[in-house]
Amino acid sequence: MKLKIKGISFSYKSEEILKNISFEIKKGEIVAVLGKNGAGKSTLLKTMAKMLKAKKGSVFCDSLDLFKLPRKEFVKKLSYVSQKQTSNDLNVFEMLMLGRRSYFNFRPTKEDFEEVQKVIDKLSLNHIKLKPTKELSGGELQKVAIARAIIQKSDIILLDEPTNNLDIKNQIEILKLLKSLKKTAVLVLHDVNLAIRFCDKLIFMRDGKILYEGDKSIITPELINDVYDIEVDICKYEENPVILPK
Amino acid sequence: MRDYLKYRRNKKILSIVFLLILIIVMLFFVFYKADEFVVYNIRLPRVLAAAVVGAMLGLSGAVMQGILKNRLASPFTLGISHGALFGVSVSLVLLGGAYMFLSAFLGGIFVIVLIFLFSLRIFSKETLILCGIAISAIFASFSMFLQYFANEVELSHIINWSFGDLSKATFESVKVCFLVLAVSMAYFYVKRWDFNALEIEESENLGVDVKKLSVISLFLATLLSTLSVSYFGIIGFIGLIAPHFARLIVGGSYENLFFLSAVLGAMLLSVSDFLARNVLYPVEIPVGIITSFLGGVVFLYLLLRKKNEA
Repeated sequence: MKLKIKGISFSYKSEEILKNISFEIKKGEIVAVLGKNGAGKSTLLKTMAKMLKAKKGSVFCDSLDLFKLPRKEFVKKLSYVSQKQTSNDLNVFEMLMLGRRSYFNFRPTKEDFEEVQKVIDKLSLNHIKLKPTKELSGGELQKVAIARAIIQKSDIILLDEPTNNLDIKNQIEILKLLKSLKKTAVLVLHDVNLAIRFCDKLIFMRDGKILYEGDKSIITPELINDVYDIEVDICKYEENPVILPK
Repeated sequence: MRDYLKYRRNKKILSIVFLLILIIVMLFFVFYKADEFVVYNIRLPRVLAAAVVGAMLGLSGAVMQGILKNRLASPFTLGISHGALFGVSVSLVLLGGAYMFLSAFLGGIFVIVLIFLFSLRIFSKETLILCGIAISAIFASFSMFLQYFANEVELSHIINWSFGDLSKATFESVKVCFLVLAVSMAYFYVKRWDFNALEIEESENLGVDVKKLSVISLFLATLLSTLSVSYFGIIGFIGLIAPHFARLIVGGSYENLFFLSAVLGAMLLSVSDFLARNVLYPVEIPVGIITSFLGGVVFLYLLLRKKNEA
């Protein structure tokens, strides 16, 4: 399976936020989308997830045009985890059952309950499964959101800043979890060093366009300067480039 | 999985227990100090009306809170009741009492469209209630304007409606209200998991048609509340309190929340009406006075709790 993003453009009012974005992802690859605030990273993910309507372009899974699928079929191919995880009165099990919403009509079936329980076991969420989500910590809430996306059983998961507002321990835990799932994923990240360590491919955006894409070997001080307008040094640690601000 | 299924079953049982309590309470209210003539001709339609209208308002409040993602939303706090009362005033003063329900419904639907558009574009969910207060004030001024030019009979009718009073209940009005309640409840029961999905940002990515659900649900919720205003006047706060108590009892899932909000709404209005009939016996006070008092206290409590949580 190959995911192809072909010529996606998005405008808000008269401003063009995304300008003809195209790239490809191989099965099982984790791709990080990086760039300054306002570069269009979150808009790209929302447009790919059909939360925003693309002006042109589409997302293809092999030769299948995902944007042409009916809503319930589309969400079985592509799941989206937003930047802002809301906590509410639903408990964790109910929250996770939402991942099965496109699979059942009137009420969840035995199969739906089993699928949810499987993921609860896999991610060790049993101790919090009856807890209201408003009582969860930031890390737990993010884990539940990822679990919900897994339950959706889509081919691709899009995650908008999954490490947002988390301490370093939880950030690493979440990224390790994503890596262990062996699923195709696109995530918006701010920490370039974490992206280098955990992602297979890096996409750098600026002003609604892709400036650079490739694996960690493309990282140079010039690239960082082009993308973020800052001077950095790059050193190596266990074969990985590490960015040090000057 | 078993523990969740057990948890779910317990919540269902709890909802049914409350329904049984409601039935017992209603039976007590029907037969309390009444002979056979009073029971069948006055008390029964009135107690049934209290239950059905309370259920309509409770359900309507739960729906509005779900769609607008604001726990303080209700037909009363959003200004829909005042929009509907203005419609009733137009009917009484300008149309000689004709097209009363239609006028009330148009008044209410105008307000909910405004609120919905404001919630999408201008106001955050936190400030939406302030917007409802402003709309209530505007429609109250329209109603007062009409009252100023109304004759004595029309004026007394409008004031009577603004109090909220179940003494005019008939089997006919109960039948109409029950029919609308049953159809709406069936729709919301089918859509209960879509309402759960609305609780999170990604609801559209779960396969829910958010726009269609919002439009149909707000239409039905407005129909429920304006129908009650057109028959019985403004009965405030039931739509706010019932879903809140229901959430405390069965949690946030709409699997039981719609049903229990309706049951608790029915119970609250039945008890309030009983108090309205008996507190100053033999003088009977309009039930709207009791619900506004109780609701005002709970509303303050909710605001204080929200502030403490923040």
